[in-house]
Amino acid sequence: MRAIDVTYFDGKSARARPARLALEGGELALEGEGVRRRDALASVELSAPIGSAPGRLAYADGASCELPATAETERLVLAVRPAPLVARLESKLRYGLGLLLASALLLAFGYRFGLPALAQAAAFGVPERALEATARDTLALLDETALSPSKLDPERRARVVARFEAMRPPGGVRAAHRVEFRAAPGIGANAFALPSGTIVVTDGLAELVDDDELGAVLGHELGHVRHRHTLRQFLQSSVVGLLTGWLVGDFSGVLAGVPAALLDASYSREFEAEADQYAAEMLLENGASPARLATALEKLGESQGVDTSAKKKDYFASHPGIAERAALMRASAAGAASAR
Amino acid sequence: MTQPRSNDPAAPYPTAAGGAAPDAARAWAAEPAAYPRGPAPRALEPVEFTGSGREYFRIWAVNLCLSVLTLGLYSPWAKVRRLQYFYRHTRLAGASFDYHGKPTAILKGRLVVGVLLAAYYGLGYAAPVAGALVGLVLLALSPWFFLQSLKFRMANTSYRGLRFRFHGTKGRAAGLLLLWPMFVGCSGYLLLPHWLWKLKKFEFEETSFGRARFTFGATSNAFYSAYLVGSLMAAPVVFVAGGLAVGALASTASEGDPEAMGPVLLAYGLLAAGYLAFRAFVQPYIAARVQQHVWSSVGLGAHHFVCDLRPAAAVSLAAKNVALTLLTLGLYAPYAAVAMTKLRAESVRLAPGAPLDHLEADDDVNVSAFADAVGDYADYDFGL
Repeated sequence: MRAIDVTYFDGKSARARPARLALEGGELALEGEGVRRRDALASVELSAPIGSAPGRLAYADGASCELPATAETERLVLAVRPAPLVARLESKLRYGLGLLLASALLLAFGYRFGLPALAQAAAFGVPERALEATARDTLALLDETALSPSKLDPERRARVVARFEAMRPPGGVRAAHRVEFRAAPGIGANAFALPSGTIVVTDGLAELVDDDELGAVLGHELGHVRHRHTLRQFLQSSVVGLLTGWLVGDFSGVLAGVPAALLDASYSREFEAEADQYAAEMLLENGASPARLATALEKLGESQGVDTSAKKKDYFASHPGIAERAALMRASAAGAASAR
Repeated sequence: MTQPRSNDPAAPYPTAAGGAAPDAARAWAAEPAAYPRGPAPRALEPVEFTGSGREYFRIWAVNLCLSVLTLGLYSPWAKVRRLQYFYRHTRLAGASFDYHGKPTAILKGRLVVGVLLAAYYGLGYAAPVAGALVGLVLLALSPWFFLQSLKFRMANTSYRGLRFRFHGTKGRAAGLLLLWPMFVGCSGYLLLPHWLWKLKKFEFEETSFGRARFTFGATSNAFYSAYLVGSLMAAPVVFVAGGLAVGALASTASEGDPEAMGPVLLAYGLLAAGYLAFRAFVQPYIAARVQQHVWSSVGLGAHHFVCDLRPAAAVSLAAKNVALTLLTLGLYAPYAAVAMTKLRAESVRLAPGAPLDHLEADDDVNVSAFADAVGDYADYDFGL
């Protein structure tokens, strides 16, 4: 094999010495201005050129050679060891494009199926006691910031809770939960579930709907609790945020925020639909009509100035359209009535 | 976390310091008598960058995909390959730079930081008090992460067979990263350019190449000037994009369905557009002004550097890069990185004060073994 032209550095000064390097009998022989050495292959580190960037030979004593990115260098390096997989993948444009396509498919699959399944497994792996401890903190924090004690009639509160607790949950499995009432002028009419199973109902919502409708809304929130939606949403959006931040290369979140918000919204819609389904089953199981949830949703929508009759589709919405959800609940009620 | 962080592959260079470089170079050129026994004044040695966008695209694609397919575990190997590509393509006086970081040492650092960050966010969600404690630990450790990363980066950078080395101490790093941000906050950000100048000064003055130490002659006045003009450029962007975004959000609050995300996304989009304008115009302008000034002030032993980077050239290239990267959904990113690196690297020239061969190794340490033990925690990338 022919010797190649390299630049030798002794590691003691910055002096660059032109030299010739050759592979001879399993040893690397170097000859140049005032230097001549033979080193066993096992004692050196050989780094191949990266594309048109030079390669490097590092000796154990700190000396090194810069290897020009030529065909001769390539041959010498290949005679020592086969090209690593990465170098072969980098050698052709079509491999890179193929890998990009494969990654895009993997990301899409992971987003649609992998991540939801993982988050579900992880969320149900957390013991209930751990969830309870964490939610006490969360509710305390909310009480200090956004919420204040409920001004609702205590008798009505007790009545609603007692009726709700008397209902059989679908499938007979009772998820641990607790209903809390709070005044929340900043939030308006709303209800939400914490990971522990604490369901918070705002005074605004309780004043807006009647007892039956409130029971239906509680059923919806219990659906979130039963399926651990809050925790799953947190896990899923954390991963989505991390990945978009990484891929967009902007961890400040300004640039990655848009795709992350779009991707989260789709997860959120699925959870809302699942919670509606749970509420419908629970209402039917207890001889009540899912239409109660429909009217509650419509009242909620009207209070917020939404045109609930509109068939407008909002693909970016975090909840399915209210009209659509109400129609599903009525269909469920009608289906149950005709089956009876 | 306060440590500077950048994923910008366009900025992979070790930086040295010097504020008086153009002057120094001129003085040197004008006074050959300072080197009476030497030959005629040595010519300026330009930095060359020989990488190509087409070639780096393939490396970038393989790096990105292997990182995705291995759920990020490959990313330290990707980082080493990227830095080796950029360093080895950077040539000065007939030799190229090289990067020697061990992927396993980088992985170790990333795992440590990753676990701490996951604990911070996870606990912040589940148990805010414990989360805040982890946050404090992270904050307290941040100067150390910053320092270790600089040590790692420098010890793993070589030129002509000699390593760079970072000598900064924990005490000074803590002062710069824990105390100074407070001063900056208290001053209503008036001290921000001064702080960034102190950070650059710290980075350069604590760095050596072989036995030679870098010197830094840049003044904080030049930083103030760059940031002042940058702020004036940013002001219209902030007012227009920010104002429209607030308007979009206000319209939801007053009339719309709070659960409809259209206006929220619109606001997000406007902020993102403003951010892109920042990345296309303001940030490259400031970076170019700072680089030009700093690199014209840096010395290394008998040598000085000069930098003639024109802010207008940096801004027009950055604007083109941002636009094409957006239009190609990110596929242009590797071309953009190469083009920006080439512009910034090739604006720097070395004014040798003596033959480069005379630079000697700092022989008392086994730098490479030390570097592996240090690990890379903050993923700190230098701005050239």
